[in-house]
Amino acid sequence: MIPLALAIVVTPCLAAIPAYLLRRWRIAELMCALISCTAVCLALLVANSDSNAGASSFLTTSPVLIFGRSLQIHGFDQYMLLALFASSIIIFGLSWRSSNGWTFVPIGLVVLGLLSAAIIVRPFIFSILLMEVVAALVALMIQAEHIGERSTLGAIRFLAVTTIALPALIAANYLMNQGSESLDAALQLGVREPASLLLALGFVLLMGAFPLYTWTHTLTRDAPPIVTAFVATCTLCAVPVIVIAVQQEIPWLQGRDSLPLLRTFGILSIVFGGALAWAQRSFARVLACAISVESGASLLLLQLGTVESLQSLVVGMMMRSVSLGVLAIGLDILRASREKDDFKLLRGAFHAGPSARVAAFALATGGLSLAGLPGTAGFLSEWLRSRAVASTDPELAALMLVAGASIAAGFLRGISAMLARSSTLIHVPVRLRRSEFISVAGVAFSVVILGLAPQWVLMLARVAGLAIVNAR
Amino acid sequence: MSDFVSLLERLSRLTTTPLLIGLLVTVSGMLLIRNWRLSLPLMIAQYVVVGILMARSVQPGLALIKLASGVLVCLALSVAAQRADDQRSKRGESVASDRIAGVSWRQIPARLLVRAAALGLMLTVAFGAAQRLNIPGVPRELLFSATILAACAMLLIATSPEALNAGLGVLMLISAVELGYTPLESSASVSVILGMMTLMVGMTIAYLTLADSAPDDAPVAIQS
Repeated sequence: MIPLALAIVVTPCLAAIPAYLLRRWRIAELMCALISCTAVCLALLVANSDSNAGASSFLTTSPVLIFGRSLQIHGFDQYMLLALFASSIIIFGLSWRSSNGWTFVPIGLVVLGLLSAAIIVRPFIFSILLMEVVAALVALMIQAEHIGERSTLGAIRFLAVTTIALPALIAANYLMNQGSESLDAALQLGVREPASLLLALGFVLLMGAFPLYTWTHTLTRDAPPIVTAFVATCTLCAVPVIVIAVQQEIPWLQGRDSLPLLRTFGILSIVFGGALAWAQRSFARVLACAISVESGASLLLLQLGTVESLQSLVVGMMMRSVSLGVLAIGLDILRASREKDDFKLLRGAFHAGPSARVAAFALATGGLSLAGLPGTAGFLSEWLRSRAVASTDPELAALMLVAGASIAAGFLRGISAMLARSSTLIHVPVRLRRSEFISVAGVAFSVVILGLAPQWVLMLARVAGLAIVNAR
Repeated sequence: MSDFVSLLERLSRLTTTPLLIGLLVTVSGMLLIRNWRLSLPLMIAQYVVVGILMARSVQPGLALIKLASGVLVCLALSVAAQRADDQRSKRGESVASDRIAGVSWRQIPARLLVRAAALGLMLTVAFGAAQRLNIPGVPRELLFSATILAACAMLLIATSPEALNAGLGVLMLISAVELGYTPLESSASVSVILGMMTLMVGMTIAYLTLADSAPDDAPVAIQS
């Protein structure tokens, strides 16, 4: 019997070795990633069906002890891990023609293994320490093979912000332990407020949701687009799961008003991201505002803690990966021809050739899906999210819709700049093979198809939301 | 190895004052002078002081993990910084050793004054915080050292645009966390993960230092 927890952590880490060795062959490298992530997804599904049927299998969900620390997959972890690895499959799959450097696939796989460990390890302190190791590796992915003065700002900002979150989370962990170990009722009550404030502050920093310029803008500017998609999908998926795990460990954190700071910073992030998105002058900056809004919305949903809000959190993870992946393909094609993606530089780019047209199509579908436009994949998460929030705060639901409209306006400004006629048009030298052309167009169409037929994602989300609430 | 452990144990019996003065000197030096030929030796000295301080409250063997990982990281960073300087010198730009040999006395005082004022402010904040904080189980001198390190690390991160100095700030912040937390959770697994964390962050900063030294941004060639 193989412990499932161990298999999930070790499989992607082991797959990173052949992926690194085969890094010169993009398809072979990607196959390593796709096969390992699919194997983990299947293992999670098999373990789930076996535990439901009561049958025995070669996988066991019993806890594993490593250095005296327990690794165990709880019911809700299983669904969240499934969403995490399914999102990774989408991102890795969409990265087949991007210029991400050698670091993307091998380090991405190790990051996935460590994120899984951070989600399932108990006690909570180890999750925090593992997130710091993840941040160090993600910084390498962000930098990729770019060189040049000030080119490291995105990587170093991500690492620094994650490290700044470390003391707050460790202090919160200490206070929570003090409270739970003490028999003094006054002390138990006394630690709650500072612990919840520190905990929320730490998680807000990890999510990059702090409204005053954290890592989102530097990440989208400096990192390859698909790495931005990976970070915004996988890393930002793991943090809410850790928050839920902590809430399950500490009973007094389960109330709706236990982490009020999450709500405050969630609203601030949505307001700042929404207010700034429409006025941005490059795709990277609109994307950064969109990530801020997504982080803010995730914080709000976490704070609500209802079945509907947790379902929309899971759907948001999956749909974000699709939207960001397609957007990344478009951005990547544009950046290959021009170093920057400023709207001014892209003026008239649509008329430069078929590759520019397919890039514009990918940008439009990915960007509008991220904004939650009806008929796209992102609309499903936007709809579920608004419904979950509207039941308690209709004003906030309206605010999220306005923020989505602002993001859509930002992307549309970029697309309209590309569509405009320009006398100073620079020819786009990127040439797509026919197969690549069809694949990119097909992937972009899938955003629309998924928006029209989202049943399988909804099914997973429904089960995951119920599992999380039942586990409480 | 046992010699190192016993040496660390003996050093940990020193009085607190010289250790705190040593810590203040290293953080002040790193904040005021942004030159890796001085910053990295100061960082190694800081790791030695942090290791000795940690050995006062945990097993010296565990404190040695911190000391060894810190020194290893500094050595890796010095190799990266030297390679970065070699690339700069090929392009005819000024490098760390040139800046030490030909100090420009006209420019330095203004920068130094600003940094010294910011340092004074942060140290005041750290002293104030250390006076108010009282965590049962954490010796006062460790808490004091941790707050000084954390405050100065934040300042270094906030004021350094280049990877090496900002990275040293990140490493200082990790040291602060370790000083404050290790007395509360002195298990081997925590020390091992913290050591691994220092090594990973150090390797990342070394990679970023090399990337920071090149002249232009040169994205990876597209594979199509």
